[in-house]
Amino acid sequence: MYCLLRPTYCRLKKDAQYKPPEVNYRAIIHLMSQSVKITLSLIITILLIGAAAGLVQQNDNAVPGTEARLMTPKPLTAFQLTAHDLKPLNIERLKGKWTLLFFGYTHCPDVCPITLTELAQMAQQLPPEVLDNTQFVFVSVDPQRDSPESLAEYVGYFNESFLGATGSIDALTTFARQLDSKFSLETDPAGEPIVNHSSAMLLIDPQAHYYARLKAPHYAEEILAQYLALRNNYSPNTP
Amino acid sequence: MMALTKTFPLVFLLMMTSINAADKLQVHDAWAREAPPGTSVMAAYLTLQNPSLKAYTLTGLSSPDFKRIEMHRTEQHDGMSKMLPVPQVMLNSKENVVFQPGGMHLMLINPKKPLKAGDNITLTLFFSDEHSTKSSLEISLPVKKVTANTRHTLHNGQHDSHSHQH
Repeated sequence: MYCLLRPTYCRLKKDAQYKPPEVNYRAIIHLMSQSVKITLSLIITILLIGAAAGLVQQNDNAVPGTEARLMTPKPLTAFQLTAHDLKPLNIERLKGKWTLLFFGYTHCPDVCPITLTELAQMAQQLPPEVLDNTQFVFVSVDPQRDSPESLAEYVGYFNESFLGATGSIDALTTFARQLDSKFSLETDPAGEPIVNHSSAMLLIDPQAHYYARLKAPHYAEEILAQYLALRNNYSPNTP
Repeated sequence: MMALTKTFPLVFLLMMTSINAADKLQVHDAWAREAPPGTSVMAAYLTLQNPSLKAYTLTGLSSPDFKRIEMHRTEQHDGMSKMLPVPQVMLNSKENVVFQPGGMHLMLINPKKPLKAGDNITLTLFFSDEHSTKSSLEISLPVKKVTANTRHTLHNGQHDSHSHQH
């Protein structure tokens, strides 16, 4: 055992000239007890911090899949867009159903069709009773090029039940702001419009409260899991 | 030593064939996403492979099937989706450049006739090498309707494009 602890000494023991160095055991024991104290207090501190963090976490979103939920869901205020069926898309139309909504434009060949494809995939996997009170809305922020009529064809390509909508720039700006979203329309040197828009998917609850924000990139399985978790842990009375 | 002498011709042969195949730029997994109705743009994706010892620059593209073709990159920045034009793409020696959903893509603008899944598109890619020598590569790629999870299509090898370098 001694040799295990002091291999240098054991190796040199055969040498008659060698004398083991004097060891001040008392000092070592003192140092050890000091370090044990420090270590213990460190462990306690870490545990305390961990517990505190756990408490905070619990208040917020302890249920897996509900991380996207807002701290305080926000009641939406009046807005008016035009849906692809030429009827208004307003606050009344968001009530009574869950709404998954995102901003885009039809001249976006990459990320918008990708997201709509994922959303269509996700819709297919929803249990019928959930699908029944869910609506999917694609809001075009490019009203110059996207009419309600062209949106009807566009969103219908992905899923017959998807709703397309657009409106005046003012109406779109008001609406987007309520959902902490933004967009910008610029023109490139060749005169072609450049459209930038928020990439998050927004979840609005059946009381027309902005309820959760799902970050991009959007994949069917993740949207599905998050949406179901958010619904399962929803109680309309808690803000 | 004997083994080395024996295998040497074989190694030499392998080296020769790889040199022969090496000089040509190659395009793999090229396809275009069918455009939904109501829009006049579609995206195409491909993998560019440069097995040669030279660096190339992809300077532009054209197609008899479209008015114009641009290179773009989708960027997610600060919670915003942006499409940024990419004027040209560097293709270093022994390097691959991937145009893929959610990343760099070709934007095919204003098709001259409606294109549906199953149709083929002809594209010409224009290159310039280190000595500014121009070359071009003509490819044919299929139009596809994507209904499956796009994340999976990223990893599915789609080897039905073919290319010829001129």
